[in-house]
Amino acid sequence: MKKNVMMRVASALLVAVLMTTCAISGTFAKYTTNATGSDTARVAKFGVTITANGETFATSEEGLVNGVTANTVLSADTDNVVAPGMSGSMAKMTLTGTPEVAVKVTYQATLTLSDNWLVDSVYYCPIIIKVNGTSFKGATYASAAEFKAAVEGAINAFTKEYAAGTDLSTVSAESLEVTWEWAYFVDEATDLKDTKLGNQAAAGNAATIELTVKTIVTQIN
Amino acid sequence: MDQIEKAVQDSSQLDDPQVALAKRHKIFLTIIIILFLLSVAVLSFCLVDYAQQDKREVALKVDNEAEVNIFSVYYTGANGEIVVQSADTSKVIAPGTNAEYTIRLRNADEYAIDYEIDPNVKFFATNNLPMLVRMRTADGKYLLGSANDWVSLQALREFSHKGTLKKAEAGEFVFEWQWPYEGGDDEWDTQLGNQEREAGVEISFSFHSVANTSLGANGGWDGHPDHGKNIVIAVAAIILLIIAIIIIIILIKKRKDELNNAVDELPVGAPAAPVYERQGAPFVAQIDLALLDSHFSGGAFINLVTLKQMGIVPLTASAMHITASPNYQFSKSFIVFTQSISPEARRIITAAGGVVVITPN
Repeated sequence: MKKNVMMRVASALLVAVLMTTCAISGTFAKYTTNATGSDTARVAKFGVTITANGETFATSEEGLVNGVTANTVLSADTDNVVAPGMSGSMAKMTLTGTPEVAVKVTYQATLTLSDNWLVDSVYYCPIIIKVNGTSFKGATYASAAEFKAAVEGAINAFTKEYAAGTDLSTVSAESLEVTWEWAYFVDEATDLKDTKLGNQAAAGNAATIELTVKTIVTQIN
Repeated sequence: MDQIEKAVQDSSQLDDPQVALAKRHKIFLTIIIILFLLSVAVLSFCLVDYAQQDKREVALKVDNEAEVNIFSVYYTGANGEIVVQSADTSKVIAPGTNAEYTIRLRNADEYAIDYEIDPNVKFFATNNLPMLVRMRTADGKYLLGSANDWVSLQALREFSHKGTLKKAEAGEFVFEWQWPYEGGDDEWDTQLGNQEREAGVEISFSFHSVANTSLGANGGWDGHPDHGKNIVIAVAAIILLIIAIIIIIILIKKRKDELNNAVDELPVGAPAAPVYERQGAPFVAQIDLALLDSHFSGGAFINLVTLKQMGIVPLTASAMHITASPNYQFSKSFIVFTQSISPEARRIITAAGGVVVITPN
């Protein structure tokens, strides 16, 4: 019995010491510190807008008739028309915005020529398209496909890059410039061909031309 | 006769050296326990008081805590040209941007430190930012993501990292992020850049640290002068433990020896009063019955302690042995407590009406 008492006392002492040690460890564990560091960022602004101004083709052309300004060409309906002596500019694209990223402006052109650009069953297109001053004369190409490829290639190859933070509204002068014209007189033979195209149109087989240019503003990485 | 036996019993209870020794042991043990418990209580109160008053902080240094540069106001392209530039002083992110941020933790404390890095992500306007992140140690061990895999900001939110820095040890963690340039949803990327309500993100890193006073984390018992500071109280507790164990072992051993010594040998036949001879006592005082006869009158209680007090027996004696000359004339009635007695002495005492009680040392 006395031995049991001794053992009990010993056990109690051991438990007391272990508890004390645990308490000591726990006490020291409260010796702490905290710190926080943070950084914030917002998404860089893009904010580029593209606005088309005017039309490439028109329904009429004015000139002097008997010394008085009057329509020298006038569409019989609402369709835009082309005729010898007419000219025009592609709708100017106005870019606005000051993107916080560097951007590249590219163009995607689609020139559509109908199958009626034929005179005596031979391809003939008197339209001259200028891309940034470079002339592409439709009459000098062997086919509508070649003329189309040349014009589209020239437009698609034109790109401009702008550094981050550039106000795009100030760089419109650098944008793509596309104009067209149909010469009023070149020579007698050309006049004859032009006349035949006009007559075909009157007969319901009008040759048509459509130029679509898509402006793309892309972030540069 | 009954009165005498009762008196003998009472006397034996009062004056028995074994009983007295046991009493002393009990008192000693009780005092030890009380002192020990008092020590523990005082120690605990001191520690609690110390912990409550201790306003020190663990010296975990985050080298670049003051200026966290996870993001930037501009980013450059492959050729060094600026491809993203904030219009103001705010930091920005955009498709194609990426960066890495190195977190440097340094233990400037005297003790080891347990730390935890706990990132948090706060979104503005939308939580669908196509950013990807990952995190690794300076030696290339990925804690979040892998060399080939990036994870979302949501995964960063749920991530945390725990570790231990020894004294003067430093740790580096590299946090990487990217917004893939053509991550698969250009339309959403553009929409984020055109939103009127600015989308954005805040990434924060919280660092929690606590002193680690374990021996393992502090280099163990290697004699380092600083180690004693943080574990002095732990050492005191261990010393208390050792002292307590030693005292208990001594008490147990002593008690065991006493019980072993109390085992007497075979009794010598004596019908009137049982007599036990003892052996193995280190110093047994030989006492002649005539000596007792000359110092005590009839009815006396005689034991070793009494004889020591009277100077009849040396204090170093641990037992006594009573002898008697043959045919010694004896008429006094003694009650004798002795460790051993000769048959002649026993016969003489009992013949005179006395009592012989054999006791242990």
